[in-house]
Amino acid sequence: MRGEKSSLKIRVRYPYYTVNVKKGYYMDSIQLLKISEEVKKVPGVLEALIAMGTDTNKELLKMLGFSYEDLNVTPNDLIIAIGAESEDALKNAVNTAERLLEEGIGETREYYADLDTALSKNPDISIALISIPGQYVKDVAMKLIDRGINLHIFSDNVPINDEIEIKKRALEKNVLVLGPGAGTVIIKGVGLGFADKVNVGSVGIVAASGTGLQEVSSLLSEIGIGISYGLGVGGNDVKNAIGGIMTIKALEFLQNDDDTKVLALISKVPDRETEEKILNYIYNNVSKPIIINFLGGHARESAKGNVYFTYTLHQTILKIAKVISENKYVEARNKYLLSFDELIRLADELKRELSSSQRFVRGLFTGGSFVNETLVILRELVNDLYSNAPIEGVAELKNPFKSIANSIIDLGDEVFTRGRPHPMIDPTIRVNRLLEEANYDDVAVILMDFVLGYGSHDDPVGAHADAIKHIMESSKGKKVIIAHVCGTSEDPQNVVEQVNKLRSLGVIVMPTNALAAFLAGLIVTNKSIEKLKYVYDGLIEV
Amino acid sequence: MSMDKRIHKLKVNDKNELNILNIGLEIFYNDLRKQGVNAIHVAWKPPVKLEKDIEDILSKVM
Repeated sequence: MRGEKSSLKIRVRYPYYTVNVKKGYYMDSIQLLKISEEVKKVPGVLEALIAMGTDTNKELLKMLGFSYEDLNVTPNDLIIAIGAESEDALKNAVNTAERLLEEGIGETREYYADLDTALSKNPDISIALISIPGQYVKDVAMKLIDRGINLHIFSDNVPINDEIEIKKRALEKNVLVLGPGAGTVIIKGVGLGFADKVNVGSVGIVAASGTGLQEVSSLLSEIGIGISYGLGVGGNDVKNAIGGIMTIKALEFLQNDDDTKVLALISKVPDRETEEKILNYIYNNVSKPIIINFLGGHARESAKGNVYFTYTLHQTILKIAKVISENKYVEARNKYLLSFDELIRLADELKRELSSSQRFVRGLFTGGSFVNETLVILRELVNDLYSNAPIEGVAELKNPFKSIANSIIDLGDEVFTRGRPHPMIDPTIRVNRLLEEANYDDVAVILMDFVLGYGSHDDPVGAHADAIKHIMESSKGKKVIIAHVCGTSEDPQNVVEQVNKLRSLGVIVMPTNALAAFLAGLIVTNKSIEKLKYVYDGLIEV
Repeated sequence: MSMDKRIHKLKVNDKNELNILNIGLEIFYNDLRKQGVNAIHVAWKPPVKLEKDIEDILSKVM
């Protein structure tokens, strides 16, 4: 089809294109991503998007240059959009797409077409990892709970009433339900979902904060402090509707586990009543040392000698090391801390490359907890701070697709992930957004996270390299890009290699997300040096 | 409160025996296999949605 002869009222920037809709066709988003990637490799193909017809994918279709006015597609339908430079290339691409959709793509070995057969042939399952669309989770979860199987529910968008029913049933049957919306679980060195390859050791972590768990577990592991269990419970667990049911169950499990010597609880701010309930449980039942981080919460005084509070993930890492030994604390400080003076000097150097009209920070994050931690720090340093995942003291960004002033975007938010893989797996949306943000003349700093580990893209930095190069070489004026890489040297992507790759592109890489946020804030802030030191002492130092 | 045997099943022994069932995204299954874990994969598909009138008829006869 030639671009100018559109019967679907679609305007495209490709000489030859097709936008087809297969009604009532389902395939999982990662399989579809792989098929899109294969179709893009067909000679002469300029762009390919094969994806379910969700709002997110319709938005992406526009971003990729397939503008349309009226596309009759629902989330249960498949879109096949291909742009090519010749008719033959387009024909080959369509044939490749149809063949891959028919044959599937992947290397599954122990493969079952239905759950009942899988369970009857494998009666000794310890835990099930569920990542199916949210509205279907309850049926599957109930069946597994009734068989006494613990669950890690990765899926988002599970209706809250379903979650309540699932967790009540789990309490009756005495099984753990980690999630819904739990990105990460670690069981004695084995990672489920998004998890880094960490050493096995004595720290047990409960987290209503997926990337928070990844940050703390991987940075501890890199200084030789291992993890016994990392139990993600999902963000809803600390809301009053759920009341911390599984947070408490997981704390109980770690308190009773002989191999766990130190506990940590990392969480987005719980609802007030649930927070009190969880703390009450801890004060009455947890006798091991426990470090608690409610990211974005109010200051708290500990009422018991073994209970410590921190404000940031960064402080949590230093505090755990301090509780374990003085040597580990020194090691953690040497590896993860820059002094206040060093940071001021670095910020001054970077500022010299910018013009006075460049005033704003833009954060493009794949990890929700990194958004939280960044906001905890930036709200002390800058005004006009917006986010699509705001905390107290931060304004809500009404349109998450368009930044204003200082904007910190959680690209893992469901608005960006309906029918698409998470941005830790598929960087398409962030790469496009990065190029867009760099076009604003008043933007000084772009902040980014790169999350490694199982489940994530096999080369996240490489996937952004062309866009970063384009920005660094642009004649539109200098931007400072500051990044943090969350991962370990044992991860499939290797943290050292990813950091080196970023540095070779001219990106400033900080050892923790908190330091990246603080440095970004220092570049654009107009606060006094005394205030800056106060923030550093309160949120970075231990 | 003591833990029962079901939650104990989260523990792995020296042979790293943790049996995991993955249902949904195949990438997680492949990553479990890369870690040398006993894992099986269920290739989930959404249930076929019956037309409302057929559902109504079925609900009357069943």
